[in-house]
Amino acid sequence: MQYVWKISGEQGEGIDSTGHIFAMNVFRNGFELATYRKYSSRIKGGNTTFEVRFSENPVFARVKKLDVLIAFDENAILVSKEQIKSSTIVIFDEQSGITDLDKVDCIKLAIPLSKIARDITGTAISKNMVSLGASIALFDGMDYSYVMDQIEKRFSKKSMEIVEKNKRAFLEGYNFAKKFLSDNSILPYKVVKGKDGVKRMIMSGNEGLAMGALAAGCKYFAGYPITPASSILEFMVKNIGNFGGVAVQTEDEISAINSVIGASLAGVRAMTATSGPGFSLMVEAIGYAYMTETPIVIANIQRGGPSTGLPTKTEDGDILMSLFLGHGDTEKIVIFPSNPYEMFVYTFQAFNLAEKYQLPVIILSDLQLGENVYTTKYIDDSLLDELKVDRGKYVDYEPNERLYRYQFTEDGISYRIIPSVKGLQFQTSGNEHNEKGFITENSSIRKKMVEKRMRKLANFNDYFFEFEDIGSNPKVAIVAYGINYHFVKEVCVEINKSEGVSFRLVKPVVLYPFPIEKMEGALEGMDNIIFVEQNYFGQLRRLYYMFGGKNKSVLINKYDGEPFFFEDLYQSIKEKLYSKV
Amino acid sequence: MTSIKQLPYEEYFLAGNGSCPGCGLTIGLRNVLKALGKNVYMVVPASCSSVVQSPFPNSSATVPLLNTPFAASAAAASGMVRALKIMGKDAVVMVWAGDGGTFDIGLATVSGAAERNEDLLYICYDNEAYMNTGGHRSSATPLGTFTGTTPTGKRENKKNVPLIMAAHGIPYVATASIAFVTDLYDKIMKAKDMKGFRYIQIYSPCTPGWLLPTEKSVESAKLAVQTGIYPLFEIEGGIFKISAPSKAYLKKEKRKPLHDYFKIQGRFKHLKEEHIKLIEQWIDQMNEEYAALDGKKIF
Ligand SMILES: Cc1ncc(C[n+]2csc(CCOP(=O)(O)OP(=O)(O)O)c2C)c(N)n1
Ligand code: SF4
Ligand SMILES: [Mg+2]
Repeated sequence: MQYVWKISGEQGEGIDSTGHIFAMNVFRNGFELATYRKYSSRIKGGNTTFEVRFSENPVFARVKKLDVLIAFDENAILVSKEQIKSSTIVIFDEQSGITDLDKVDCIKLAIPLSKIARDITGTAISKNMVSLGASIALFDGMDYSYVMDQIEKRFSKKSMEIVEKNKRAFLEGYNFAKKFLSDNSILPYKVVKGKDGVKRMIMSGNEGLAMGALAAGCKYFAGYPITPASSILEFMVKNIGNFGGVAVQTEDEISAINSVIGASLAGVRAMTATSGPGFSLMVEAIGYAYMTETPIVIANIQRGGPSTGLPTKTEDGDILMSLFLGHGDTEKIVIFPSNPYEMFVYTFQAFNLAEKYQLPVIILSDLQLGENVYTTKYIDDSLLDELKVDRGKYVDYEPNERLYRYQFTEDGISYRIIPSVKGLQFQTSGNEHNEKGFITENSSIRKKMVEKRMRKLANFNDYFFEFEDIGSNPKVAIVAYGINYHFVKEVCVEINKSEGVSFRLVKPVVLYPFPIEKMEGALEGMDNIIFVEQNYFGQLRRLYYMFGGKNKSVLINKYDGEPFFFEDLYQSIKEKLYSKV
Repeated sequence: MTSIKQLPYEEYFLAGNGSCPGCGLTIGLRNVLKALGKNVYMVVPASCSSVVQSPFPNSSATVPLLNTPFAASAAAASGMVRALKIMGKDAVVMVWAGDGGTFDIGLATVSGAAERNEDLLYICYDNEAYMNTGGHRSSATPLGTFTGTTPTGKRENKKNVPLIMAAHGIPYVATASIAFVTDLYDKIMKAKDMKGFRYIQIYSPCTPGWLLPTEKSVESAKLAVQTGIYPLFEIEGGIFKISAPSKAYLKKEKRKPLHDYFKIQGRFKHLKEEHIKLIEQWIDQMNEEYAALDGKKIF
């Protein structure tokens, strides 16, 4: 069983919070789910959409057809037309001027949403509650107690009367729809609860990232609002204080990242989060952090580029940039987690890596992963026990031996003396410097310093690289990263079921240092290799060859700002299966 | 002073644009363009303005329009105005930027262009926060205000950018409001014929951002002047002059209670009496200072 529910209307009508309540209710009923949000800026009036796809099995990708559509206006029908099938139940208000539906083949459930809302609560905005009730009634066996809890939580501050009124509005919609089904002899959708008893969470990528940072002991966060990374700044402003840290909104991104560098130089774990245009502004500072060997974490929640590009749409077009940004020979660790759980774990690890190697670490994500919620593995105490804070060669004590901040060492990593340590002069500079941090242009020191920095990642082995097989003896490998990895997996499981084709799914997580040996190992013996990417160039595929990949491959890519549909990906992968390179 | 009836009928910023009902910036832009006419190049950084101007498939602007990166408008306009001179074209180059693009990320380029006295008309429409990204604080956000990144109320006071601009020694600085359209119109007309860098800051309510009912947008702008929280003034050739709409409210006893202004806006709902007292003290002090400056050469 799997269903898709969608609510669509104007920005400012409460679409987003209604979608969240529905998603949480579905989750509380024991299902796995994925969401898809479409939004414009804050401005009232643009169309917004919240889709929830749920099943007893893991779901990630978006599918084309809807089972339930709540349409608040004509525009909602217009943008959803291609998603409506003859069995889609469309909930709408005849009073809202929707005329376009006449020609559409579907089940039309007309409810006086605004009238019911106004009659009961006195305000039309409660049409959200009425339509939520009606849409939940369409699923036989769906418990709605979470919605009731939410109504209490949201409105009890106002008055018990408002709580009661909203519950009534919900139930009125619920009963209306139940009656509609029985009057018209339409069978409700059957839902069978997932009963495996495994604890799960529901989380967005940005939430996973922010919580991972807090768990890792991030004490300073600086950011500047930008879609789709603003929710991280908002989360930090609200929560970091409870963990002994501070979050600062700076006057721009240059300031944000440089203040993060300042905080790290002083000795605390620090990070920033941004998206494309802001990331571009941070480039010089990332080079400075590399040169001064300052551990910092930068999250780039990608959106469509270049320039302002597609501020509210998804893309993975900053991969090449992340690896190669900055003038001069620089290195940074680049990590692209694939789901909210990994976001948590690898953000935690990002802080360890940054301090272990004394380097900038870039975490890549995108709008589709960052701003949508997915069911994920449960984060419990045992995970937190397993993840250990490792501050590397951090020195905040008076050492017995003579130490220099940029001392030449075998592994290239020097002791990270923080400025307050007694008896040691602290000095750092973006200029080339000697072991003490004093500026120098001496050629032999320069050469040794470059080589010292380059030794740091020479034996890097923290790749978090994974691959898994769907079916036995696969001859087809698919390389994917980010949330697309899970889209691909869902599709491959399905192709395997229907066509018997086996797949090897390859998931690079650390993209720099590039895991070329791991990749070649996983791809060995494959007849057919497909990269699936959300950018024009096929940026990971280019990296694969740039770093010496020997296998031939083909590319499936998308760069229109929308995530892959399950059906399209299914089709594309099938086509590539039989078109040998 | 121009009367409402004397405002031109011509429209250069058209109806049907993508802004929210009650949006202050579009009222401002509509009247600014009435004053400037057709011979103007408009330079706009990332902001609500850059979104509302062209909802696909139309554009509501009828003058040449250059959308720039967020931090860059004053710089892009500088290049433009110099090029127009080289090409022998005579036109007004106007930057139309939000408070975020002016007070925060853009301040360095604004200051740079002012210091070079570039021949620009720089207009900042001030809705006191980053609205386009969903309502986050800017340094134009007043003390105590709720935003997405100041959930318990902003701790810092509003930055006084008009005075900072005046300190550059530029020919003209003014504050204006969308509630006093003729005053705004006259200020634009005056600035239009001047040479060099001119800075005008327009108070522009934002209905969703301020949690303000649609129909109260102009009312709140009026109250901002009447409560003395947003005094209107000009600094011409370094001489400070309180504008007519604000004149009466320099006196504390004439000012309307701050409460009238706060109560219609959700962004101030959480404020306690003691906070309001504090803000009142600040308003008193500012108005006293402005009264003392009135008519004097300050830069
Ligand atoms: C370098 C960069 N950082 C962040 C953004 C995201 N951004 C777009 S508009 C905006 C806020 C604009 O605020 P303001 O200038 O006050 O204009 P308003 O939206 O309030 O009209 C921000 C932060 C961006 N476009 N570019
Ligand atoms: S969000 Fe505010 S500033 Fe932006 S268009 Fe709407 S009312 Fe205008
Ligand atoms: Mg603003």
